[in-house]
Amino acid sequence: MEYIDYYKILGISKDATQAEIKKAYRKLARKHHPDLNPNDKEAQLKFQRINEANEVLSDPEKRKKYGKYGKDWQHADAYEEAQRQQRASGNHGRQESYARSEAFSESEFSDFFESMFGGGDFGSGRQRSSYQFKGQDYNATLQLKLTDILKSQKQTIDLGNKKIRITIPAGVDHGQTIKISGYGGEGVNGGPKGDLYITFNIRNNTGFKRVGDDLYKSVEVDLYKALLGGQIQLNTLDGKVKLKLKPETQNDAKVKLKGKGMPKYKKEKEFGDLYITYKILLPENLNSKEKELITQLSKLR
Amino acid sequence: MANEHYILVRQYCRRTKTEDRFILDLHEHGLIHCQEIEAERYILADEISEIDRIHRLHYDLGINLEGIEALNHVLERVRQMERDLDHLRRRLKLYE
Repeated sequence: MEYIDYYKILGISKDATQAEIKKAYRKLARKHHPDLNPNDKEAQLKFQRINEANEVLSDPEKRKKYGKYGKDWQHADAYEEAQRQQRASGNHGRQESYARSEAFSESEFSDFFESMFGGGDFGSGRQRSSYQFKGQDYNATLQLKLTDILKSQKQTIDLGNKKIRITIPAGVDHGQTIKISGYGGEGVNGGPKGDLYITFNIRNNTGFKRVGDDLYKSVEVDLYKALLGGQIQLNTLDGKVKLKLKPETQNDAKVKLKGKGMPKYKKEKEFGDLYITYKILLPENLNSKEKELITQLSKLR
Repeated sequence: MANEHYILVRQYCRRTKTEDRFILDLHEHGLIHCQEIEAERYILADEISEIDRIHRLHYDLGINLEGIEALNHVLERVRQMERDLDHLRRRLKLYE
């Protein structure tokens, strides 16, 4: 565990006034706030540190303790123990405030912060500090195979304290997030429950490439079949199909198989398309007879 | 039941120590949609996360509501661009 220089994080001097701290915090927070940088983990981490620095430096008590024990934080334990005993005897509202915050704040403070100030029971920037109403939102990731989402199906999700059964609509996209209202944390002060957000991680276990509802595949065809035409057999997601190959099919020619793609999300009985690209294979290791015939052929052209 | 979806503004403000005026301002700026039912003002339970988000931007970062409106617009553009980028990346993979 490393010592964290909160003054350095906020870019202020050790004798900064409260107004300077607030100004520095707001300036940095406006840059890195998660609400302004959606899906940016780096910004989120930076914001947590800025927030933590502000938690410590904007509170005269904590700032004093940080100044006193900061560089020598290992010895702060005894001080912390004394503080804890003091708290236990006095504050009745404490229990509630712990319950309220532990669900979201555990990982939002550094080890350094937690060793000095205990588990963060202060408002983090992600939630409104003292007056939370709606329960905390939960985020979960669900791993599925592409072949699992060809039909809508029910799946049980383990949320730790309870299990819920949800219907996963066919055709859900990789990286797509769905909201399940009311399956987050309990509300506070009579507020509604939080929501559960499930992000799907779809592993493509097929030979097709997926772009939205459409699938793509390259199919190798030998030169003679491409020149003279014929029939090829192909596996699609819902069984085998026979394709008629036109004579003189060119390399990279594409055909569209309508409705042979992925099921469309929340559109029953609608499907994307499957695009096949023909890759024509030239014969290799020609023998002398073949070379002779091809020479003849080239002369004819 | 309708009760599950609507929350009295009065109750919300009292419980969260939020000023009524703030909720009204959000409504007037078109950032949320209040409903008036029998002379009482309600907010949609679904919009509480949005109110919380705007509250953070306004009180923690000092951004006024006009600024938040502009931000919402820009954020929506960023999200759309991210979706487009993701789509293009997947299309690009077809040729790799």
